[in-house]
Amino acid sequence: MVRVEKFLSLFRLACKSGLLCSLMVGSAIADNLLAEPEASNLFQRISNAFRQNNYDGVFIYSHGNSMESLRIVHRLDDTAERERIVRMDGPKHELIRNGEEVTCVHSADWKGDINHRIPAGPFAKAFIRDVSHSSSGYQVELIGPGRIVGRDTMRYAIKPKDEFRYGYQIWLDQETGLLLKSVLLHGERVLERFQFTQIDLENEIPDTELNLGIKGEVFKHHPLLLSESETIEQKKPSWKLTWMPDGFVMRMQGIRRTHGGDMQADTLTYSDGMTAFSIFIEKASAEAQEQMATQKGATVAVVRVIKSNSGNHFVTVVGEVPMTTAKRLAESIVPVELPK
Amino acid sequence: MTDNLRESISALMDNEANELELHRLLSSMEQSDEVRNTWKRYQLASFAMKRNLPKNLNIDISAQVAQAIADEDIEIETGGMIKQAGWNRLIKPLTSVAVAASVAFVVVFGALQVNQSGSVTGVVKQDSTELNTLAIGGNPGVKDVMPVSDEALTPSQKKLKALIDTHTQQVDLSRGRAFMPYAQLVSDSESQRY
Repeated sequence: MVRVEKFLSLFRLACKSGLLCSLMVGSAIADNLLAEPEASNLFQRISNAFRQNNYDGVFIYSHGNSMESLRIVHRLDDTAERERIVRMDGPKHELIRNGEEVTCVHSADWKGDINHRIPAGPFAKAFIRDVSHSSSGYQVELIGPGRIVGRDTMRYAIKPKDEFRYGYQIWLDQETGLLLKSVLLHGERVLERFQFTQIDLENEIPDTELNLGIKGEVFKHHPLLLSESETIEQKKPSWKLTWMPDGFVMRMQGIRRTHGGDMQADTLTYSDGMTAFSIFIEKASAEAQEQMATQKGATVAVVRVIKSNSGNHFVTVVGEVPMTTAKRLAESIVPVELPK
Repeated sequence: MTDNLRESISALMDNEANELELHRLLSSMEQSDEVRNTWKRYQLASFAMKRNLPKNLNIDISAQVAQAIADEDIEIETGGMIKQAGWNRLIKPLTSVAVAASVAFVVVFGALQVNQSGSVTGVVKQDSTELNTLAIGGNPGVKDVMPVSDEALTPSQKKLKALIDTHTQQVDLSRGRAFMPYAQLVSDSESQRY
């Protein structure tokens, strides 16, 4: 009797957990989402879906202690992608993008630094990764079907192969492949979350929905050019890492002017295709002793002082990597020996 | 251990135990290793079926937390919790902190901050997700001690904030960051907290 009850109890559990249900409905799921995918195929699918579909939705993005809801309207025209992003919380702020041209409007009470609060690329591009490296540090696993924002999804885990980077879980719309939800995980903890709370994928997007909806000070600019100009000198790096996790490759190096233009830093940026970290090296005064470590959401920053024959330097590691990785990176930076 | 107890455990896991069963279970768990172990096994089976199997089954969190705290070469001052939001506050030296150890899976990491005069201030930060939970739960120990405006930052804190922004922008350009594209749109302004 007890055994029967135990079985029934486990059966109830299984039903609750969706395990049996998923076995039963498995055959109905789009074949292309079912296979355990290569990381690169999966990312390609995600970016294509964001670019090719027309959609109008609201998503939340939470990061550390802050959470924000944003509306995204996206339409693929013959000539270019058009999109409009509207901040739904706090001071009003909107941007529209027509191909590469960006127009931004914010209300008078907006306090943000406008130049650095604009995503450099279209919404869709934010999901395009250089996938040639991203498979080395991660393994993709199909978890199973689910439901997000009223739509049937397939859920995948992108698991790091070592403890030096974060993991992800993503939920893709079964019909379109659109990313409807993603979480960034450190072990079992969620550090960042992106999720649509409402989305319309069915209806035509009228022009009116792609026009600015508020009045205020208007900015037009080309974020890519603006940022490139901030790299003032390309040269051989005078610093190098003696250690970094497998799969990271250098993406940028040079001397950069940081905000305000009154600071210069030797900069190295590395990425493994999924995540990235930057290392900034600046001259420090002889008595500098400051060491700092801080974290918000998935982003960590570590500052340390290196003392060498050529004087003291601040080394700052900033990245979306676990704190232990950032600290180890900060300890692994050394000056490049110049040939005599 | 009686079959009755086993059934009660099973019922409790299904959220179907009544008040009486619960009390009986709790008191027998206090006294009997066997009951405790049965509970543990059933939970594991349940986790496994829900595909939530923890990676490290034998981890004793309390020992880990204790170890993590012991490993940090810092002073921990009591005197109230600190909630943090936004870089402005995160990079402010903290003078008064406490460790929240009440909830399972609290992860503590330490940050050592040495100020210019050379004296050492201890900083223990809880994972921000955890802090959120505390704030929502209305923990009376939570108090706001950090100034929030940019003007309140020291030059070195401003510099760090600038470097973080530079990294975010740079990474956005090189498309080095997957799935979380809108960090830059999320401001540190007052209204965006929590």
